[in-house]
Amino acid sequence: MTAAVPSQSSAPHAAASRRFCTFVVAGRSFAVDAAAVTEVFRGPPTTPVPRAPEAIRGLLNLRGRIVPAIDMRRRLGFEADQRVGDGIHVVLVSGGEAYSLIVDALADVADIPAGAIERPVAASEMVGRDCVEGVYAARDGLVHLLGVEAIIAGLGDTAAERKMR
Amino acid sequence: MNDNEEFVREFLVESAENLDQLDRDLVALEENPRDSQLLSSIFRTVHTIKGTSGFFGFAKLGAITHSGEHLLGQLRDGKIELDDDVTGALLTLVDAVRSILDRIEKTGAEGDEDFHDLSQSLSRIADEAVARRRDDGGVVVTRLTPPASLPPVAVVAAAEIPPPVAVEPVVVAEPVVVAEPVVVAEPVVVAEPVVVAEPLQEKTAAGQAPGLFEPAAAAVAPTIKGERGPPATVPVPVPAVPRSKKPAVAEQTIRVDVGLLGSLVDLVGELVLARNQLESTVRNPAAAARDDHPELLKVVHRIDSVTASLQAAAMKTRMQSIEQVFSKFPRIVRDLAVTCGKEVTLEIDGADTELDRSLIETIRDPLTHLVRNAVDHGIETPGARVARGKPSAGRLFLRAYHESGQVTVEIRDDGGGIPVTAVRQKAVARGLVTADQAAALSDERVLQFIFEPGFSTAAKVTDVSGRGVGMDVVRTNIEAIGGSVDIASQPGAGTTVRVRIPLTLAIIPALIVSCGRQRFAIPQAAVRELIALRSGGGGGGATAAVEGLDGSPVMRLRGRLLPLVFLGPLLGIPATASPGGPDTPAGGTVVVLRSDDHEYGLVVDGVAVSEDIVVKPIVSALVALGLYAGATVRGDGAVVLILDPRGIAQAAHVPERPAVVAGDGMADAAEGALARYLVCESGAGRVVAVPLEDVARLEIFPRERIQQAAGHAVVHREGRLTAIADVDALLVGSASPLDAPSFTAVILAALHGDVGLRVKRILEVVAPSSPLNCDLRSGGVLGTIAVAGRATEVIDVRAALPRGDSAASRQVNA
Repeated sequence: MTAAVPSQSSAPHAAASRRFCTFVVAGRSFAVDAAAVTEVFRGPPTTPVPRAPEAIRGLLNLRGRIVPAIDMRRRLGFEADQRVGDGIHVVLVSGGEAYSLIVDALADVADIPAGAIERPVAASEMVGRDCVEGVYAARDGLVHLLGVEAIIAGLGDTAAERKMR
Repeated sequence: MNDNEEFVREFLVESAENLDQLDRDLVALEENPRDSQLLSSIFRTVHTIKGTSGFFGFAKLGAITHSGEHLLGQLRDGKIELDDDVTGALLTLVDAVRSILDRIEKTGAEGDEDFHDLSQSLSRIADEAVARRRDDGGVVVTRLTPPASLPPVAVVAAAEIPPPVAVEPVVVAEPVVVAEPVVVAEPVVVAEPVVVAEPLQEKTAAGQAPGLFEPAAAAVAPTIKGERGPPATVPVPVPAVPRSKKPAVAEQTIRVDVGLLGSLVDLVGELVLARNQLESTVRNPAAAARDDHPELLKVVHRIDSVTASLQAAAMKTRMQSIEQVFSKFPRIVRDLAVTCGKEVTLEIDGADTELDRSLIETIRDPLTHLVRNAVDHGIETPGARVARGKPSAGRLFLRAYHESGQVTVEIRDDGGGIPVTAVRQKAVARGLVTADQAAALSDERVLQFIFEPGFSTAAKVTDVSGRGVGMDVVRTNIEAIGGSVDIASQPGAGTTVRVRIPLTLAIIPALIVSCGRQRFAIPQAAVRELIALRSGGGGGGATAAVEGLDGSPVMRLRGRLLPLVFLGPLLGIPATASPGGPDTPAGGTVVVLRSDDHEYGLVVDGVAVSEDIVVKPIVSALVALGLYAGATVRGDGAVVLILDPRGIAQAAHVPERPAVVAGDGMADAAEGALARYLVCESGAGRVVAVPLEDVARLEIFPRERIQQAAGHAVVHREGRLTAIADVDALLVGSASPLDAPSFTAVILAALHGDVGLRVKRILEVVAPSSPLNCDLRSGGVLGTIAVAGRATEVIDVRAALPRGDSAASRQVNA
């Protein structure tokens, strides 16, 4: 089953071992390449951007730099969190621009051997599978490895468009 | 090649600078053909590019610079004279080098453009001229023309020639043979360099009779370089003379990554925010009451002043001199003058004037356009000039200078000027004004029509430019960055165009408006006026009511229909206090916005404040929405989106402003062309008018805000001092007493917001049907207009300037 593999150039199998920053969104574990992550903090309020893609919760003032905050629940196709919380911001840099991922909780920083990363199975219930690059079976369950560029590339899409993929 | 990438980049940067210098030097050389220092500098520059291109294996670049160097060598040795052919060929060389470098920058390779013709013509000019001289000198020389069958590939092929080591340098001892330029420069020779090239190389390396061998050595240099690698090992035929160009400056500057400067500016911005928070915490009444740290206030004060200095210094790092734009002009003017058959002397002043680097690129095209216009249409042909009693060479004067927080660039020519009568006729013919209105308009106002799209009075449109064509683009581009363009022209005596540019794009004045719970910033440059929206049926004064036209909300503004856009519904923001919407208009403010294609009223819930904001970029996913131009961080740390007036008009499907309107619309266009005035009452009860185009905005200040500085009344607003001139003082010489607790100031646009007129109150805005009557023109009065049947004096805002500047302002008027 290779249909769900996004056309990302950075194959997770390339390196011997990669370091991932893992976090929790809607009760599931996800991870991004730790090298892209610049900082993590409990977020200040964001400024909403009317008419912006639903996955963008708003803009964040990061030391004078204006950073879009991506609601990972919405980006991955889960129900938005009903609690009005600011969430945890995982700030990462891609293509010279900074983004913040709003996640429910931070889990761990883990070194994952390249051999242990498997190609993702097409999980029909997961709308955000367009940014899942690989799957790793940790002791306490599956961790979906997300491609930073894919998260950002699909920002402008609506949930319906993502389902189409 | 990967290892080389950084070096290549450095080479590109350095060469770009060198090429600009070459352009200037070559044009200067044309004036002083015997300036040997200039010639040496040109020679060295070309040589450096040639050497480095050989190092990186850029064969084409090597080949053409090689030919160029050869030609320059002949020039320097006095073997040929500088004439138009030579200059032309050298300038073509500079263009070709630039084009190759450009290609290398984009693709990493030289591309497949063919420059052999250029190489050949450079060599031919070099050698023909020499041969001619020899003929003249009675020396019998057989002139060899390159056989057509021998393609100039020869030069490139030379790179495959075996190393020179094997060759006996004995031949070299016969310098007479080698010095024969007819032999050396012949491409055939290069094709068989084993015989000629190497001995030469050895010879030069040995340092013998370098003067004699220079051209020859230069001619074969690329061959050798292709073999030997780094240019450092290549003998330089010219003794290394240190560059005389500002060595002191070079030692005091370093190259810094632009991104690093950007982050420095960002961090300083952040520091300013923290400083603001610190200050408000310390000055907070509760903290002041405790007052247990008297030292703290002092420290905060010091941090405050240091932060301000740091911010100023950081902003300065973004500045670059306008030289970057000006440096291209000698070449452009020269080429254009040749094309048009004119003689033009270009004078440049204030090239060291600095402005924000982001603006440099934006103003390049508009300024180039204006310069081309001046040469093509402003300056007359030598014959026409002489007939008018002017010197045959026209003067084009470029000047840049700082003035009240802006940079002014002046482009002045002493040409024929713009025929105002023709502009007037054209305006009537195009239906912009009626004949009566046109006759009533002042010459200055008539000249403004030049900025209308597609407006040209040029009898014939040349391929270079047609005065008028593109002037609308010039104005649009300059206004897009918050600048302005003025034009003044005297028939027969010349034209002056003044372009005013803000110092930086990063900080722009903006209007902060509210919509629902959110705030947005609107660039002040797009804001024409603010109108309170009438709630229900009541209201009066400057209020307006919403009407429907084919289902679209519109508003009547001075007899015209203005399309309205409701920001809340457009952005999907739920209304909070007042249900503002097309169906239930209840309160709110109409911000009248104007972009190049649209004019419309944006209905917002309220207007908070007008302040200078720092523009920050937003990610492309948000730019793609087309609604926002960026974002900013306000003093309290909150992020505020900057609305894009043009994008909003498009999103709301506001009809485009017609360029030329017929029928009913004609009155609208005419109204736009006619002046509007702000009528106000002075402290002494005089009713006076101010041309609306001179008004930037109206502000109310409490009386206590007035301070005295250098004999002027001033107020501190938006971080700078604004001089406050009393209207009565301007008119009758004695100021009216300031008894009211507050006063209204008409902040003047023409004077960059640094001068305000003190008035008692604002009465109305009028658009009189009859033009300005100038019979009563005097010191502070432009003339009179009829307001409600009464003659009302129109104030000459330039008279409001502080005394020191009034000479300059009179010049503006003249």
